[in-house]
Amino acid sequence: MMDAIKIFLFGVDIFFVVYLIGYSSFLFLSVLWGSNRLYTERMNEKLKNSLHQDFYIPISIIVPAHNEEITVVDTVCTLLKQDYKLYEIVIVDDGSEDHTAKRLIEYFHMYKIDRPVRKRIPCKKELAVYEAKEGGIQLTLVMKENGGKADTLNMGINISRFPYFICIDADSMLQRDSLREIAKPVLEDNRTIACGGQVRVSNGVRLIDGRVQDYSLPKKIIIALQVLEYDRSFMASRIFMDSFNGNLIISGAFGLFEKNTVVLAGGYDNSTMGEDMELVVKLHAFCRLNHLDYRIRYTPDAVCWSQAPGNLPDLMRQRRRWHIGLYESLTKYKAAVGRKEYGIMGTVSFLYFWIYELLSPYIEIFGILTIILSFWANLINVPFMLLFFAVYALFGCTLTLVAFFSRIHTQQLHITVWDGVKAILLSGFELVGLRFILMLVRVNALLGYQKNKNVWGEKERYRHNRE
Amino acid sequence: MVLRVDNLIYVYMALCACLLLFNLAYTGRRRLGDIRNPSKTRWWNAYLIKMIAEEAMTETQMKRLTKRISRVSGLQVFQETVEKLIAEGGQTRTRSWIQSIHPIFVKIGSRYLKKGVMEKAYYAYVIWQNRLCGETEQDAVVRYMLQLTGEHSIYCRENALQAIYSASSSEVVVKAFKMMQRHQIEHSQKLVTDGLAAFQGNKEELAAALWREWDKFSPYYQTAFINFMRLSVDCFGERLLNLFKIPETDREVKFAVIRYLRRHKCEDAAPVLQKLVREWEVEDWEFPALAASALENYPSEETVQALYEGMHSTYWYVRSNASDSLIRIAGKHNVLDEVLLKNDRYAIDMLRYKQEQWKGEMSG
Repeated sequence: MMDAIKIFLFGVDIFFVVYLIGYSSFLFLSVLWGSNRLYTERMNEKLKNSLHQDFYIPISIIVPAHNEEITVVDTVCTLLKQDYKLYEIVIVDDGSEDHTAKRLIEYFHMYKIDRPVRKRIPCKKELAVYEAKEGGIQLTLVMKENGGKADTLNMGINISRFPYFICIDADSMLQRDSLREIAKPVLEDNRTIACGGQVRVSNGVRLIDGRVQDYSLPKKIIIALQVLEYDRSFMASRIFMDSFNGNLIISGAFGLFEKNTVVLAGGYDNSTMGEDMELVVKLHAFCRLNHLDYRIRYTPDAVCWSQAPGNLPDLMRQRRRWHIGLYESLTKYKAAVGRKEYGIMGTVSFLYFWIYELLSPYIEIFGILTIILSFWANLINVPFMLLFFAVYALFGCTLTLVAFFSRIHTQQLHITVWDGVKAILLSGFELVGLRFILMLVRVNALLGYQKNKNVWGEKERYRHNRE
Repeated sequence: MVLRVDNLIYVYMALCACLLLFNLAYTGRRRLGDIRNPSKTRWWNAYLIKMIAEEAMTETQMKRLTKRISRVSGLQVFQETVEKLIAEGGQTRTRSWIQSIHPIFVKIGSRYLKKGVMEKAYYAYVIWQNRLCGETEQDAVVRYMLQLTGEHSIYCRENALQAIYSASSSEVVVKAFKMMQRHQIEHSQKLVTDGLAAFQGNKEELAAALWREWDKFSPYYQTAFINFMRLSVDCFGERLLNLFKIPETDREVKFAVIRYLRRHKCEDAAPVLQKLVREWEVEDWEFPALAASALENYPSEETVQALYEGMHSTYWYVRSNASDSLIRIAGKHNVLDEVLLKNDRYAIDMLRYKQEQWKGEMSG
């Protein structure tokens, strides 16, 4: 019996050694890469290595909304302040039960119009279309039957006029230069079919006319922890994966897409919970299988400020949805792993998401159970284990802090010394507290997930800090 | 085995700590720069004002200036100071003084061309901003800029092209594009179009120079050139129409020609465009859709008739563009009845929407 346990634990040892080497190397490489990219971009900016154009590509901004009466007018107001020549705003109200549409109609004096909708992608029926012009920018409001977020985005794509579209959550705000920045990769490389921007937590920022006036770590600990987490994840995977066209996620909160390719690929999938990731994976698959030369880019300079869940239940619900979305996208395109057509993206990105994102909570639980078994069998060196945990935790904290401070410095944000200290303290808490809770959420995520498909992820809304 | 992971993590951690230190050092340098830069700019300000006032520079002053702006940090402060002086109203004097030190920019050019791509791009930017490119290839700066159009960095190419557009002749512009064509570089079409439209010389001459070398360019550049012609010159209708009629002409080029004909009327084009709309089942939908838009510039009985026929197209964009053109041509006249007679629901819906929209625009 004891021999069998020893052999089993030896196997587990080997597995975790390989697993941890892989994970730490990936994280290390990506943070190093991300940090370098941010500094290179700052240098580029300093040396005027940028495009000095007034007009890029015509863009439709699609704002899917469901019960967003608190934030929707503010969101549209920030969108109207974009430093960009040619764009329209399309708000799609997905059968809201509150006054989302009424707020918009009254505030922007919109008028009802019989506009035919060309349904290139199937979606639920429109109930009414309103239009208005605000400062030369076309505003369109479509009220439709309730059909979920993906269905709402598909309606937005159908009714939009321009060849590129951006989807943005109704609780998000863009900086004045966000459209300009997110359009740059398309201008730099005409193979670009999609581009993700950087989503940041808006709870600690004050924008005046689309420009950041004050920035600080949010006072609420749960939100501040998410700031650190966002920084690490954006730098740790997206910038690195961008280097080999391997990004599998463009956040639903802010992403630019070439409409025609999205339509040809079939638009957003109504049957998944993570429609944003599914679309990006689908675009990869569509282009790879049709031998199209394409790029899916990520640009950290295009910033979108989005509200993070302000309490633990909301956060847990959000992460549950994300994990289910990840599961659905990865299993739907499981054939991509290791296939020649998918190249390095298929191997590195898909494997990373499978092993270190989807399966990681289960692997971590398995690790904890193994430790308990080792204790029971008296086969563990406790001082070494504690030292190892401490070293690993310190490594995690250091990476988080590098990501956080690199972002703060390279994006010319100023924080107080207290915020710096707070970030250092919270990086430890994030590692042992929040990450552990979210691991348990992710472990449970897939239980009974079919029940709540096609529902909007409700969370408590706050008014934006905007002037 | 376990120890090896341990060691690896120690190494990673040490490197991360270095990164953190780098972050701190970077912040420190930035703070220091914030303190030192204003005094540097003040020094340059005084220095340049003195130079401009003296007009002629001594050999020593030339050498000192060359040395200072050979470093990118020096060139940066120099440029910022020049921009400041121009903004303060000293445009004419500052610009003529900079022109007088053109040899310095020739000298530093050969050094910058050996530096990294970011520095090269910045050098091109300074040349562009100060219009230091000469008219012909005799000028060394022009040759440098031509060389930079072959770089892989889009910023470097764009800054070099802008420098050329700002001061060189149309022949130099054509040469730049021929070079990019030779290197198989596809510079963004939008940038090419906008850049050519920003050309400081005679645009008709530039269009003619591009036309003379037309066959040397790929359809990619030809499309961008026609887009430039659409924005800037109106005497190419006949020539482009003939190009359109050649069956081998690339689709994208043909689309660009139709867009040109929409903006610049060419009488001979009307029957061609009308035919495209009438025969919407023959060609790809893009042709009748674009032609329907272009016809707004060719009002006549035949055009209205063609647009009515286009209204019955099975393609959304053909119906949409045809109704836009019909409304623009018909103005206040009620054109909806004519379509109603044919009992085509899609056509009626589209025209009704466009009319409502048009009324909305007219009233507010």
